[in-house]
Amino acid sequence: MTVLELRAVHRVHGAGQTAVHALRGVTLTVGAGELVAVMGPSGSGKSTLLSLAGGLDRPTEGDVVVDGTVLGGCSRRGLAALRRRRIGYVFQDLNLLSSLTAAENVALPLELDGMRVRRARRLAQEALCEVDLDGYGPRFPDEMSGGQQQRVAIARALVGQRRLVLADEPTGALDSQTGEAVLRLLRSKVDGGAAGVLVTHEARHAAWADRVVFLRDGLIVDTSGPLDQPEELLTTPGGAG
Amino acid sequence: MYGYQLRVTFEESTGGTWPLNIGQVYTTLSRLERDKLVCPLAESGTGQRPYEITDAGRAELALWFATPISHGDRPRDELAIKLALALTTPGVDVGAVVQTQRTATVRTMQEYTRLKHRTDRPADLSWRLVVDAMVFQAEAEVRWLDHCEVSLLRYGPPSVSEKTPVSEQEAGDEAEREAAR
Amino acid sequence: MTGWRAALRVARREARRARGRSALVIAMIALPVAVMAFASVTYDSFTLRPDEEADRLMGAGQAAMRWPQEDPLYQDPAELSYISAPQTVPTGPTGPTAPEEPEAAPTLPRLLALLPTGSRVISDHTGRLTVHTATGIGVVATRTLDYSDPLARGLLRPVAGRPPVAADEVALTPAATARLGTRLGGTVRLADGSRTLRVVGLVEDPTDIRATAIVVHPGGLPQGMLPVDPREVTWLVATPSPLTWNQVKQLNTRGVVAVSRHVLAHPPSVDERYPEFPRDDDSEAGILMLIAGLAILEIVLLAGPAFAVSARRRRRDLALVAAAGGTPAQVRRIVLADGVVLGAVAAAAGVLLGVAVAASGRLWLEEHLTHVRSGALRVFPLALAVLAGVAVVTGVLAALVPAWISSRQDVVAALAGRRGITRSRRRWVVLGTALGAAGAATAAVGAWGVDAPLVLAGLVTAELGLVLCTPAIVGLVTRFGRFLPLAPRIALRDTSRNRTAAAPAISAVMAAAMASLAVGVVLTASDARARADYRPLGRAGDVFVLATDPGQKARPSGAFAMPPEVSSALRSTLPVTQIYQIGETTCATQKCLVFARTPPERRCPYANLDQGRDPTAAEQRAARRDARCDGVDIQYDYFGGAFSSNVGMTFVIDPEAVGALVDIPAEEAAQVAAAMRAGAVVVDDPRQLDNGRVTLEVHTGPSREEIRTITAPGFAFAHPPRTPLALLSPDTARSLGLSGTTLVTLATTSRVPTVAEQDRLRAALGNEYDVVVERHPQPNRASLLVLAIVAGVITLGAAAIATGLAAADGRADLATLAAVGASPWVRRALSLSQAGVIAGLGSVLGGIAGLGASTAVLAADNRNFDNIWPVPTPYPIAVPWLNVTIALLVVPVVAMLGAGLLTRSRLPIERRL
Repeated sequence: MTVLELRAVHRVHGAGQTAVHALRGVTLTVGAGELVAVMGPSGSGKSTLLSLAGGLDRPTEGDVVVDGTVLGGCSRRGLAALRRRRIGYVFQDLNLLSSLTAAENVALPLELDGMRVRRARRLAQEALCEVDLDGYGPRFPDEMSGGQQQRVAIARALVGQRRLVLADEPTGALDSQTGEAVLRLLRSKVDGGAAGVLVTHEARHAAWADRVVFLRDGLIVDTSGPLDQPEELLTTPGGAG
Repeated sequence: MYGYQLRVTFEESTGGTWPLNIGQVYTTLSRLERDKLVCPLAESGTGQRPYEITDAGRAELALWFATPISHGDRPRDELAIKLALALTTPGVDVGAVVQTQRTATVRTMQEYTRLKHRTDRPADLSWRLVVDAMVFQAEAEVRWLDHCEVSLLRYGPPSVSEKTPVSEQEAGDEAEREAAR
Repeated sequence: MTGWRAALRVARREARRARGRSALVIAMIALPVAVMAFASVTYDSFTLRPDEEADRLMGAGQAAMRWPQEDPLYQDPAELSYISAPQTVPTGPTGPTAPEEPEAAPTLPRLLALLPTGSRVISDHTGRLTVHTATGIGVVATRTLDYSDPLARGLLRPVAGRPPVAADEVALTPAATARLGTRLGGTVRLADGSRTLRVVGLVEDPTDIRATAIVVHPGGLPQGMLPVDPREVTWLVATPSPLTWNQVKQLNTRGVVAVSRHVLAHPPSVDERYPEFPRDDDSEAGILMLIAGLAILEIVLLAGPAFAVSARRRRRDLALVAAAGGTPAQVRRIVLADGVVLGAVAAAAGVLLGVAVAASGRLWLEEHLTHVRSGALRVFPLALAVLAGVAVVTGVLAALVPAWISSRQDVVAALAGRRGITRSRRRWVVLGTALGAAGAATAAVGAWGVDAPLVLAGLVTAELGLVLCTPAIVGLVTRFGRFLPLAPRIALRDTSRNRTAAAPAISAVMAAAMASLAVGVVLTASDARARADYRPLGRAGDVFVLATDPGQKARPSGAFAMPPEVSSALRSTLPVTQIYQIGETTCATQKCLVFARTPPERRCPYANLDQGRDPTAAEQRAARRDARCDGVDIQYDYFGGAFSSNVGMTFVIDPEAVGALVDIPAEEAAQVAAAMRAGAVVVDDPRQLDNGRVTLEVHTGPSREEIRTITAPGFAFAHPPRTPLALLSPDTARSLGLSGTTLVTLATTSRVPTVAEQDRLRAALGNEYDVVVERHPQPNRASLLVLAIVAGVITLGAAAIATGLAAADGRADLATLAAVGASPWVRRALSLSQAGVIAGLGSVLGGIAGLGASTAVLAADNRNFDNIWPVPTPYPIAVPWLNVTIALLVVPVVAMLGAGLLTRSRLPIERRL
């Protein structure tokens, strides 16, 4: 089931001679239970793609469809509503509002959506438990490690009925072990039925995806899908040396 | 420990990434016995002969762990040679070669990662480390490919970017900021 | 020094790089500096130099003089005010003039004889003319002065036309043309119709631009029409050489008051002055200093948050400096250099702006506010230099706290991008509380001793203490925010966690609200006190018509009757309900004064002491405890201030008129009227009744020194009128050998007549009558409003700045909010809440502090009155609801709405890799 669809999306910043073509005709489909990594060198349009997918930005041309909703037809208010109901964001850092506790941060989209504070808090506590952070609810982001903050961010991205997780270098500031734990969490969340887009420039992180999309100069240049029987790889040495 | 046991243990701890045949095991054992690094014990009831490591063997093992593996010891890198040839052979799209290789390598990494994720053996640390070694080696290759690509851009076809990126992160920040304007 | 140079360079670059923030900081310092520069330039321009003052008083002459009496007098060196010297010493040199007839009128030759030879004198005399006005008939001030004389130059400023020279020519002030409904080339008709004067010139009195005056050429109008009292004439004197203070004192011995140009420029020392006219004390300067101090505190509080945020934004930079081996001193220096650079720019901008506005706004100020022409435009360089210095120092001060914090910051935390929490330190809270308590105590002591500077100093100290406590208070309030809706919860937490930025902004709002409400309470109390002191006999809206010369209208033998023209004029012009005639009691055969006498044993022993001396402190205390002295020895006004007495007046009225004259219930009026018909003398005070009889004192003789008494049946009011009085009916008066002279015609009205109606009545009555309307004292609403507006502007500014800064600081938070799906409204709500927290918290704290402080001061003042007799009216503790509403409700709401509306609701699309 398709959750996110980009149809021939173009995004041009500026106009005339100084126009920068961030994306030029990207078509991408992400289904439920699928994690797609977007790789590419700096300036290839990775972050633009993510902004478009999350409705933070609008394409110059083409359509972005999330859960059957064409974002181009939404008002800013509508986009905001979509973000708090359907889309979860995880950034590299500055993910959490520093003046809210972990639980309040997780409850944020629910509260924004008008849920009763008490109920939102309860759901947030449950979401925190799922990312192994029970008991951390009353803590402020300042009082948590980077990995814990990212886990809170993932909990927030998936609290409620979210279908799409957009992660922008979520492990950037973390050491490889903590980063891996975050990705493992993301992976298992996606396996649980969500759709995920992971923007990264590290192959090791991209390798957690079902599909890796290579972006260069605003174009998808190649896509790698997984082999059907992973075990085979072990019996035929060579591929990676 | 006798030969078959040795083979099973080895395969387990290397995550099955280095399959052995039993003949190889016995050849190696007899070579070790010749060098007095192991000594055979009495044959068991089932006709299997266990071996025990000697003090010299222990010393040799310690030395092996203590000595880094030098590059000269590894087989020649076919990929590097392929790229070098591609550059000098007219009519070959080096970028495509790079990308094809990268896609393949990333796919391999995906496999390893999936294996790591799907196989629920968190307790088996040595197995995971071996898988990780392969992931990191693959990653090194991807990064080397990235580097090749940048070098191609700079020294090969007319370059797109005039700037020499100080670091990837910084250059990226800048490009994105410019794009945002 | 090299360290400073590097720091200044960094600061300069930073200021240029972060333009918006720099502009904000500069504006926050420059605006108050501009206001103060404006104030000081205006103050200096409007504070006349001695020469300018002299020009307005004596024209081009050397002195202005008056000759109010022949006996020696003491005077203030700078004013034409005097008191008579005690008449015990006929000194030697003045001997020859003493035998002259005492009532000799001052004449020009006699004055010249006292002056150095070669002196020239012209006269300047003010009087009144009754003329036709635009709406009717009115009395207008006149000035008889030949202002074309070179000697008079500077007294009046010719605006148009030419000076009057002929007998029927006059010049008018602009206000007079409006009042009289005429113009240059028009005419002015005297009310008696005897003359029509031509308006040939327009002049302006620089000491009062709005003055309504007719300027007449000397000798233009006959003495009968415009009487000249030679004792009231001001003489403008040109002497060959400057007139010294000794010469002035010499003139004083002859009864001449003189203000000399030379004396104005060289004020006599304390020893040379008359001790009766001491020099003004300098407490005013102290108060000005304190107010300036408060203003500076306000600037620092306003500018502080900007620097705090600036330092926070640059935390990483600063941490890098520290990581690169910068000492805390160097880090501090960089932030301080920020303050120096921005302070200097702000100083220049503020001073220039202030001077420019002062220069261009001078005319407007003169015409609409001061109504006095300023002297030359003076820029007060000293004050401006001080202000510029203050601006730089303010910049540094405002940068100091953030600098101190950033030099102590945790480098690791800053580099990691973690925001440190500045906890409010216990010792600051302790110090703040101590300062607050000390300030309050000082203010109370100051109020006790009626020492305004001490009061202000105490208030400033207390305010500083409160400022120090603010972070702790904010922290306390935050605890209650747990279950608030999202936006206010975030705002409250942000405020609490960014205390370095929020506390000064809250303090600024608090200081403004506190000052506004404190002064508001005092003003309101003064107003309320004035209202309490206002004791009309009747009711507001009562109209009194008085004969301008009561003697002419006296009807003999108590047969005072209402002149028919008065009642018809009243009925035709005003909403009159009833008209009564009030007579003053006098003797049937001769003039005399009649008072109700209090029996000796009930008389206050401390009133009317020998030799007219004031009671001593001990006697005052005793008098306060003495019930007999209640309400005694206070000056009471009658008929809207037309008469006043401290012993009470005795009226002859028709018994029916009681209810109209005195504001009492109708039943009681009927009882009083019945008693009057029965022949009783009605008194206000039961103490004056002795076995049901009243004793009246009748004073006769030229100086009322012969006293006889009459007794009559008495009756006392159950609800005493607000002013003491005795009433008797015409019949009773006749039976006692007394009579009533026409004093006042009283008309009760259905509403308070307007000024225009009053003018119409005056026109209808002609110039033989005066019209007084009982009006309530007008409350000082304008100054309260100005106060509220100033405080409101500061509050709005502080809230806007703090909100803007909080928003800038929380941009990352907003981006996160956007990503999480906050609707554009949430961002508005967040800004709204941030402004609300700052403005609301500041206003509430300031309101409590201001109301508390002023109430304490007033209470102390009232306590101070406890030992004074006659008892002054205490200050009622009144709440200025207007200011409270504006400060606590309107301004925070406006600040919130403003923040909500002005915030760009478009969510920032922050890109990150």
